[in-house]
Amino acid sequence: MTSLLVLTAGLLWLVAMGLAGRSGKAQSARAVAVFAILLATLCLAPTGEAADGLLRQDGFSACWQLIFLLAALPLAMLMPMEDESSAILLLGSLAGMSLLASANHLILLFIGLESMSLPGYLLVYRLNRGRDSLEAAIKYFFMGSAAAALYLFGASLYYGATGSLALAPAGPSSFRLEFSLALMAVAALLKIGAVPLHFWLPDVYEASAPELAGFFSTAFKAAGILFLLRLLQLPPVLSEGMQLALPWISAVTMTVGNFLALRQSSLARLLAYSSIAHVGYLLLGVWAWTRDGRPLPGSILLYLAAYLFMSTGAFAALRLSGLKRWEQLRGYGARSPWLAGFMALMLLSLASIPPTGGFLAKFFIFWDALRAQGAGWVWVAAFNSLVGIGYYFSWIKAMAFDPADEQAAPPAPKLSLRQQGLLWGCAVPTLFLGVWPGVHTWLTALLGAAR
Amino acid sequence: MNALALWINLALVAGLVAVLSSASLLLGPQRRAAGAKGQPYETGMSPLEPAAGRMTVSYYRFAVLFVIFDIDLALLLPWVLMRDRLSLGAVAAFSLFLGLVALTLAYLWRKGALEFS
Repeated sequence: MTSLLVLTAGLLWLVAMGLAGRSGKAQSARAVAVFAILLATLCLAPTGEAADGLLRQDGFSACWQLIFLLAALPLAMLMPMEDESSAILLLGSLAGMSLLASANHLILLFIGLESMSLPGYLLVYRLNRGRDSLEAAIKYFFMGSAAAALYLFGASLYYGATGSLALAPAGPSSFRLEFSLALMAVAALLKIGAVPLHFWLPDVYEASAPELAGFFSTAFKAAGILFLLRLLQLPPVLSEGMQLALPWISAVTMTVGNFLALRQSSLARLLAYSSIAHVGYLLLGVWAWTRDGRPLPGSILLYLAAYLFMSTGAFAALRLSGLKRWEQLRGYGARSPWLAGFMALMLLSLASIPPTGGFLAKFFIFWDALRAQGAGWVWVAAFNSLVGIGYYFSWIKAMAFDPADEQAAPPAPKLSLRQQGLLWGCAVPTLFLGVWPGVHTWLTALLGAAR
Repeated sequence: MNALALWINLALVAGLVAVLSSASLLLGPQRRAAGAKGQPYETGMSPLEPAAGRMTVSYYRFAVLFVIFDIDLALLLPWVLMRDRLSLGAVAAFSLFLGLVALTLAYLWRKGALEFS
């Protein structure tokens, strides 16, 4: 709760700065945003219910808020700023996410969802002005509106079925209740970009600034997954229906994502399809979690945490290197060995090669799915990982072994100390999460705090 | 309430829409009015341009501002009506809300969102 207040205070401070209209606003706005995010991170704690039970800050909320804040930090550091307005949008989106994570009421959940998403659409255009990003922003807006409509329809049916909008285990199961929960679950799937609701995603990731795409792929997806978990926690009815649907959605999502990623020539688009594939693995974890009687989802949190560092790192590397297309990768290893090496580490983690966080995270997801008697689905996921290795490794091969193309690639950048720190901040946790299996137990214990 | 009732309701809605729209197509007058009779009526004047033209995007901004203040007013009205029975906390909460709206408006003003150019 305190962290939400800190974010709001930062937001108001930025608005006041805009009102005062002093010069040199961009740098001080960035400082305020970074400071608010860091302070909010320090204030995270599971504090229990607040506001007459409308808000409930449990271990889930705190863990997910940590992911949101960590995902926003690189964006606040890297994004271009003319004045304070982009920082306002970022903090607004973060406050929405924090609210979403601790909402205990369907209306508050909706407010959180929308105040998370609306600034996101604006940032797509604001950080990278052009025809493509305008188109992507509008497309994203329409998809988000569709999700909002589905959610509201579902919520109103939920109210009709239970007579309450509280996010608490509802009464006896009925068709109307199940239908309402299914509608809301579809809205969640749209937010995380599961196939066949993924069409907006590659366009948005390609057209927006890479650091923003990294933020979308980590924070927005984590928010969508949390939203889905909260819905699945409600009554057992939805879980039964979803137990049939989820493995199919997951298998189709990872297969479509991986096979389409094989054919991309734009690097941001490739990472977008790769993020669709990762949503597929995550949904497998969600399925195993519902099958397992919904314990604390330590594997899902670990996957989100590992994906946070590797995806943020990969997109940040794209931003800092200025690489856009596949041809520019040729010989990039010789031109800028450190950045290429960093990129290779992130790609190895995305391809889940030990000893990186991506490997351990996927291991636990597969382990959960095996324990939930889903050996067949694990085979599908394992085959998909193999397909994934195809494009991640040809990326590394193009950087390391292909002859350099002098005209194509942008010049090697001179990284500032802050930017180097950011890259280390992605690389070290990625390696750390890969060599310490105890993190799974640790995260599970963290989730269980104050429930 | 069970599943059947909902399905019957959905079927009734779909059926009603289909019947009503096809009925007006089948039973309504078939002829197309020509000349001045076929034109849309606009305060007695002949229309200046097609109604489906493009609107400036600035109108949208004003529509949004209107909605904000509309909702603001809708919330303000019960607050005023209940003024005798409100606790101090409720007054403080609502004042905070009004303050936030005012701050936002001031910010928009400053950023030139209220200028119509």
